[in-house]
Amino acid sequence: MGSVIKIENLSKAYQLGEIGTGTLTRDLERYWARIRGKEDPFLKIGEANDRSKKGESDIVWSLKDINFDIEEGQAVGIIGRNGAGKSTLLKVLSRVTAPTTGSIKVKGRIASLLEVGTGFHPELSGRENIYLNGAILGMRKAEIKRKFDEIVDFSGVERYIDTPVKRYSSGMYVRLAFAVAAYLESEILIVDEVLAVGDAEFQKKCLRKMEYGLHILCLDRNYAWCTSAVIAAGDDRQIYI
Amino acid sequence: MTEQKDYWDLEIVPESNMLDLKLQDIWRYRDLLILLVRRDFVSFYKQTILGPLWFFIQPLFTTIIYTFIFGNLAAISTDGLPQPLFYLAGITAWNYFADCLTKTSSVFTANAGLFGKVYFPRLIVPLSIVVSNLIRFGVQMCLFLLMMAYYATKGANLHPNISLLLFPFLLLLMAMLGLGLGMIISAMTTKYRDLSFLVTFGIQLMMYLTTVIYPLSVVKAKYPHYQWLLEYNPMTSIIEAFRYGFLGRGTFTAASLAITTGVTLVILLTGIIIFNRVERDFIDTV
Repeated sequence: MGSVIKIENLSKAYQLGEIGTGTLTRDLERYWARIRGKEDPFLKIGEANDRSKKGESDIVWSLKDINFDIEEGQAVGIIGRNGAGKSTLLKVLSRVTAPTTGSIKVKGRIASLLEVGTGFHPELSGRENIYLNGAILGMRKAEIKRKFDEIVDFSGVERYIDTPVKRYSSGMYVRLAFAVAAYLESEILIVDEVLAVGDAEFQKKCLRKMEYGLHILCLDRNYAWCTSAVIAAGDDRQIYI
Repeated sequence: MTEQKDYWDLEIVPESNMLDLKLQDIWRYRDLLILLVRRDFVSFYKQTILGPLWFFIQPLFTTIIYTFIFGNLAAISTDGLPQPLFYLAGITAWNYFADCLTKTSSVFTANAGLFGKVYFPRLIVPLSIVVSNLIRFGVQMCLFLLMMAYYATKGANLHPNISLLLFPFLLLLMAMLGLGLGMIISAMTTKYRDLSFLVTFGIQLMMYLTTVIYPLSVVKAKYPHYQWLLEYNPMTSIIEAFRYGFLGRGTFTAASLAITTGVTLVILLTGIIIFNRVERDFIDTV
């Protein structure tokens, strides 16, 4: 009843190897199949994504027939080994790339944080980058203006705010970037392993800040604070809740 | 069936409507458009001493070179207009179109890092390119107007006329044409890069097929067999109309402008459709 995200039969196929003349013939065949209203001939031979073995096909399924619902008010962590499809799922959820089949239905606004500091321009000052990065993440200018002092305060780089970010230390850069993201207000927040930033004190501060709304997090281990639901991406491309 | 739980704000599916422009989304992200324009403008002259003056220098030097080579050395007619003024008019207009086209044509490859990490309506970026080039064009128009004033006081035979009213329309046509062509090329270069090599020298060759360094009237008189080559080029009538409005010399008809408008609209529509198709999962193949 209270599900906010509903994922049905979600699959995503990727192509391995290089893109060149070889893929052009295949693209033409695929295009021809689509014109005739037939199914994509190359998706049928797709294989499960097992990175350690050499497979037959160079189409692999990163996600295959995934179904699950996420209820309101949960903090969901997605865990799994490297290449299990965690980030792919988050990419599809944040609309960076479209799924191959299936659908996702969402209630409310999604904000996603697949990387901190997306769109930071090295030549621009910290101040200008806060506005730019905030707008890229979906904030309105007035909203950023209102929160500006808090963001600067949170990042702790006030002294450097009018210096181009290319002069920042990597720690300062990440702090500033994360501070913008921390003030993002949306019903659903998607985060991909970006919490591994800053020093210990800063990490703790970030976690405290993020205690609102629904979160979907992609993690490398099971953190204690997201116990309400943990989704595990298994070897057979299925998702367990 | 009419229960509330059937309402969803957003549905993510593999295919979408070709003509769904997500205009509402674009409107919601309008602040981003402004900030991207600001970024382009500010980062252009960061760590320079002359700053925005560089916008002047490029067309000025090009004009000087053209005056020397095409005007004096090759002695190509300029329809009785002062040579620098004739070339500057062509260069200013052409540069706007060419900059829009080249910048837009690398939108996907140049912004892959950004597009791969966060969602926003992709159309925002090409639109921001057109707008930030508009600022640059505005600065260069000032140079043109200054030069016009200088030649007017020296008693040159200039006739600005009622066709000046077409100017905003011509500007829109150039923007749409550059945007449309650029989007087609950018969408076609995400998977196979071949076309991107064509853009850099293609745009230069196309300039010679446009009436930037010579007037259409000369071609009509000298090479009537080849004039169709120029007349099918939508930029020709735009530049001729531009020159006619400001300087009083230029060959264009209502019919040629109408054809240009038609061609431009078709190109823009094609561009938008292809762009919309590609933006959904280009990140997997870029």
